[in-house]
Amino acid sequence: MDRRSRDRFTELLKPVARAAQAYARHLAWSRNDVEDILQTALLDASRKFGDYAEGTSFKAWLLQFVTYAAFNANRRHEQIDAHELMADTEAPDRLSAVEVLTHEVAYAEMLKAPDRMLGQLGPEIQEAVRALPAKRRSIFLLRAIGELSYREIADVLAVPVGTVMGELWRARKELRAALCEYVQQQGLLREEGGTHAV
Amino acid sequence: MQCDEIRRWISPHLDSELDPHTNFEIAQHLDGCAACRQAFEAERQLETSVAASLSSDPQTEAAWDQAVHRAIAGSRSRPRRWQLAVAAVALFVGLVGGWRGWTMARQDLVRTALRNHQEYLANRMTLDVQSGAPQTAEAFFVNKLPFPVRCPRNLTDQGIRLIGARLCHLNHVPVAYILYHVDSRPISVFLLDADSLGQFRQAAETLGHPDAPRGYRVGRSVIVTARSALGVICAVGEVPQATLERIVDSYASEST
Repeated sequence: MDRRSRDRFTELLKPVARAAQAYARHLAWSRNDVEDILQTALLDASRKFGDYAEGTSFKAWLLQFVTYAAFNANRRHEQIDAHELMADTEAPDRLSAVEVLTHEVAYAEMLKAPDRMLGQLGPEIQEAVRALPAKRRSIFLLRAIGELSYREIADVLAVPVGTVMGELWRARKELRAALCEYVQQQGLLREEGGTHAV
Repeated sequence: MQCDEIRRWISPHLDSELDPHTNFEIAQHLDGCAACRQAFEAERQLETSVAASLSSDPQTEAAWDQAVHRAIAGSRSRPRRWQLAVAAVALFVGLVGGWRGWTMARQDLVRTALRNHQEYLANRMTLDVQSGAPQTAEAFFVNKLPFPVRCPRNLTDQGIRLIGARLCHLNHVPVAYILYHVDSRPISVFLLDADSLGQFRQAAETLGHPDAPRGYRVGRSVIVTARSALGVICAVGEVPQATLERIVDSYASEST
């Protein structure tokens, strides 16, 4: 990489730094891998910077390298493969009618004051995201953190746009279910006057 | 469109992925339906809150800065023949003209500090505490060093970001090591007390000398040293000398 490319590369990195850091942090299965993931991704990206087409989204281009580095790092944890395999299999909906109703009530309550509810659930949200299957998690994070379009996400992961839409929908559904569960477990609804202790 | 049909489009609508026609229909419906408007707004807030909770942290920021630094250092192209020739001439001129500077750069404190800084760059050294808060770094050194460590508060405003600290040794002398980043480039700051300067004979002579330069250049690295009321400050980094001087001066004014 010559000096001009290096300067340009550094310049392009600045506005996407926060998104790339957060993406790597939440995509990595182990916190200990984040440093390796970032180093591998940035080194690969710097070596292939000649392939980057000016005018296209640098963030989408860079997040592709972070994705590959994270997937490779996650693959090192064998127990995760088993977890991912189980999570990737569509589990039948075994919720009882009462549980569904309870979730709906919790969700409706959460929508009334999402900031207040979620403000108390920082680590739980991260845990819920971490519990998503690899591809689904990646798609959700690319949208939520990377703010990429469906087309860009599809290009990053080399999957059809329809898959992105479907996985994003499932990710959000699963996250909401998990968050409702947490809200109920922690009694956040009851704290608000005890009207929804189902 | 009816309410239940409209609500099926919440996610793609919030993601700005719908065609203009559907967006228009949704906007029309929301204008006349308070319940759907509230549902869309709540979903938007929910998404924003979830995204906000998935932020980065100081540890990841530090890892990013190091990764950027190494990626850029690792991607340097091989110099061309004419560049080597120019470098050789520059080296010759530098050696002849800057002999005195070179010999001073060999002085013991500068040499040892530079070696420690390079240890960090080579990832052979880890920080004992990672924090961007000066008071956290200061608290870490309490009871570990025979002198108080005071970190300046005004450096962040100048784009000089505190990353963390550790206790380290230069020539068997315990010193405070504080790491900063400027545009992802690491800067090592070493603080030692005046009594320990006796271990660095050459530095003790040059630091008090009126003709002694403040800064030295060794390869791409710049080293700036200064005396303060409490002892000696030494900053090392691959940044302009003025940046290191700002750091050293800030530390010196903290100890007065």
